[in-house]
Amino acid sequence: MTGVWVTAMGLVAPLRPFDTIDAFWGALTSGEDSIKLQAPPLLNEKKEWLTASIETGQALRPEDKFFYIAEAALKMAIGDSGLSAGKLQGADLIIGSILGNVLSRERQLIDGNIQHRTAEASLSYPVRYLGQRFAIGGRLSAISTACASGTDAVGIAARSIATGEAEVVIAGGIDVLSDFALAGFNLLQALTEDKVRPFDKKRTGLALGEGAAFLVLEAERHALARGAKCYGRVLGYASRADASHLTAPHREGRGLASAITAALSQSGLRQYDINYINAHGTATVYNDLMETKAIKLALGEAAYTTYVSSTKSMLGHAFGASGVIEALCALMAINTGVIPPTINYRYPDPQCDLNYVPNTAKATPVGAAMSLSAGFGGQNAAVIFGRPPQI
Amino acid sequence: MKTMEIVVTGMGYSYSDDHSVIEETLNSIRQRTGKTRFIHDIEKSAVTAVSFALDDAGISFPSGRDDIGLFMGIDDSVEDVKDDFFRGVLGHGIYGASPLMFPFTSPNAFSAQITIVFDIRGECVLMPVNYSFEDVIKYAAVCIRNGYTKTAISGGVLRKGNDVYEAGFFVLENAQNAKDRGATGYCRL
Repeated sequence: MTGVWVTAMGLVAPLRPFDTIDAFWGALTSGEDSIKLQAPPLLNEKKEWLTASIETGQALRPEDKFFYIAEAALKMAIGDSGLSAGKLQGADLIIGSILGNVLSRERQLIDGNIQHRTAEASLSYPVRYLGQRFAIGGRLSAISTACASGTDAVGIAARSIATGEAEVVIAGGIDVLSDFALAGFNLLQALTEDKVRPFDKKRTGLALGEGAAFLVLEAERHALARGAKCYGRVLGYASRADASHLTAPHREGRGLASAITAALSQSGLRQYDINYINAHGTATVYNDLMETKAIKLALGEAAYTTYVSSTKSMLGHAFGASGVIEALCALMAINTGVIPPTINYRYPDPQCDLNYVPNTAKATPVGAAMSLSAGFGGQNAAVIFGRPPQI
Repeated sequence: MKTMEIVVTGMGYSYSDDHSVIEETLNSIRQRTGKTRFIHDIEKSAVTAVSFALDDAGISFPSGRDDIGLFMGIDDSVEDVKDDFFRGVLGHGIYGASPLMFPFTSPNAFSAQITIVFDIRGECVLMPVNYSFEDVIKYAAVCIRNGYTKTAISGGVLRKGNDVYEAGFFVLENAQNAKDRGATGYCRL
């Protein structure tokens, strides 16, 4: 894949309120942990849950949070891009989300309003709303591929540009914490009551999070013509199905390995050229083992010299937003030469035997970085980024 | 855009109220694939329509191929499942959630079930749509033209009323591929 630049980024994530991506990156690479015990958003339950939530600093109703963070992140990305109103009129927008504005429907059901579902609850609504709100006049598309939604949004956007279908595509991911998701993941016994410890021998599960993130992808010639900056180039992307199980990953990482191999083939890179992998790294027993196997299957011996870290150890699992947040982290690793750590790591697992950048960030040049996502239903996606031309 | 010719080689349609057709088809699928459990009407309709499309295209299953991709759209059908799940939580507290229903609250559960039943290991995309599946089929065509997949099963599910759904899928492939395997095309895309 050639000719696809990432020219802007915007993000609202846990940790604390940030004005800039640099401030977020500083906190993340210093190993700040945003996960703490909190009450569920709407239900009056006594139990508190370990979650990573966004403090907006605003007096918001929970059901307004989805669009609040979405608008803030998209505004940041558009501001960073310097795209004129005219250029936005011709841009496409693609958004990945698993549950959409689920708190809005939760509120309706709690209030006993069962029959009438507002348009806001629809998964195709956020992209239509945000397109109109920011006068983005091109094609508006929604993606919902479980936890791979954000990565697929970025990958599909990159393909649109690489194939000449579009010149500017804004790709994003948005999801918020909900009682709905807490109930479901609790059922699956996937939630930790300890710390989130990806790849650790004593890992006990994930913490749910939330976030909104956007990348502006642009055709190289279009970006050059307007003097846009470049955070990195999209070099490869692939999606693959496990075709195995509705909620559990394929134990040998068949689908994810196939996605990595296909993305690598598109990129023209060799296995040793990937310096950093931002892993899906949920800290569930099966995901981390599967992911380690998939990386080894796809990269061979190079897997052992590639840095692999899970930013979910600090940010929790932001569902459909996580793929875009983690793509942004991969791009920042390239731009700053700093790899974020996997925090809370204590006991090496003999079966998870890669370099997971335990507890402390690693300063090292990153020429190419890959971001991985794996989700319910055996969804797998891999996206590869390379250096911008100026560094 | 590249100019590779794409042809439609298979079509399948099902309506969730056609219970006898769906049950007969699912029984046949059970015998051919060993997959036994189908839970939700959306899933049953989608799986039935895809089996018709694959049979029509002359593509055998289980496939085990990663050069066949699934490109599926879904309207607000999935919101029905989410409502049912959350009403269970409201009725019995956060511990009263249904383990059988939760996986189906993620819309890609339906595309995932199709990949599992037919062992389709390639590209897999689920797009929530408002009314039209145009974007889904266009993206499938882009993926074929640019070599991201050789064959695409593309279509989706629409809600026609309370707990009533219809599903329709096409098999798309590049014309040369279809010709090489002796498939008949309905039309060019």
